[in-house]
Amino acid sequence: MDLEELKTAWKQQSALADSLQRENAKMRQRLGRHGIMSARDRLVRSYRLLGILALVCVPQISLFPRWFGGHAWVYIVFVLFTAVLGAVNIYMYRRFKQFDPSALSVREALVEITSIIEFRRRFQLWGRILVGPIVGLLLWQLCDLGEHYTALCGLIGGVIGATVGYFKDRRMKLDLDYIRQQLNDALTD
Amino acid sequence: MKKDNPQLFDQILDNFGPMIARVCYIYGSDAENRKDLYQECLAAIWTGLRSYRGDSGLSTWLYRVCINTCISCFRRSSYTRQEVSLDDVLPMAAGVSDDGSDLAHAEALRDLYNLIGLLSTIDKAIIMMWLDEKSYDEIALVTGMPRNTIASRLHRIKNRLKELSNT
Repeated sequence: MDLEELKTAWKQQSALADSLQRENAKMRQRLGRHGIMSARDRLVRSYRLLGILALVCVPQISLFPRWFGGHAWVYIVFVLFTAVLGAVNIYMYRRFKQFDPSALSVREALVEITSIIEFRRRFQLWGRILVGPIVGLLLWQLCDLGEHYTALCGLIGGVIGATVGYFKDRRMKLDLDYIRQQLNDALTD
Repeated sequence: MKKDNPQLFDQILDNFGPMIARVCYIYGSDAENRKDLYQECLAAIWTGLRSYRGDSGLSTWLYRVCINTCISCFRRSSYTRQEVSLDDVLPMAAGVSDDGSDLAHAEALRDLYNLIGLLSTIDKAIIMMWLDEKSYDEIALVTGMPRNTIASRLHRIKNRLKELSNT
């Protein structure tokens, strides 16, 4: 097949329009009823919700000592963890929201996507590793477990978090390598 | 804040629907993924229309939105080799002719999509716009690469496609 044949085949896709009618009708319907929300918008909305929840929850931590009866450092760790989680989620929400496909060239979009994925990768890996010991600490306080059980909960949580984190991270790293490869390709003439 | 423009959106669906779908076909991995991408592209267009000032042609702007949207959703398709099954392509070619050449046409399309699927993200965008007879300047505007680079890249892409189609 030569390039002219390819071009002819490409041009003769007029019937594609027919197969799109159903999809277009669906979009028009959604547009009329609720407005359109993309998957990214939904993700952004969930991040915003998480961020707000974290901000609302943090002040409530002051009640924890009364509930648990001591060990202030546990509350401090929890408050810090929740605050960092909320702040990072709000930051990620802003980054996602700022990604505007209509304002960027393909090259700029690749740079931005690389940066967003790199950030998410680091944040999620540490989040997964840290969440196990934090849950262990909370269990200790909530269930009044002995210190050995706490250490065990923290250890098991940490190992599970790190294992899940490792495999998720490996997948994300592959994504990142792929995008970087595309980016390098775009940057070299 | 600018208002939504449902009339223009409707016009885009009517006039540029096939073009948007082609971008999704190139960047998507399977039929369901392409439908998702199509919806994502339309959502991005709907949102982006508020800030569209008409600095570039509408089709050039649409290419930019669709390609960027597709590459930002790359995770679902980055590992699978970009090949298109005959079942996916046949509906696209249906009704093209009445003389029994539908299958041949569908096969030509399948070959074409398979070949383009082997290219890199940027090269796919460049060859797609070249096939749609966009000028080098328009391609440069969408990709963010210099015009001369586009010319040399296009030359290389054509050679690669020739090589690939001969193997």
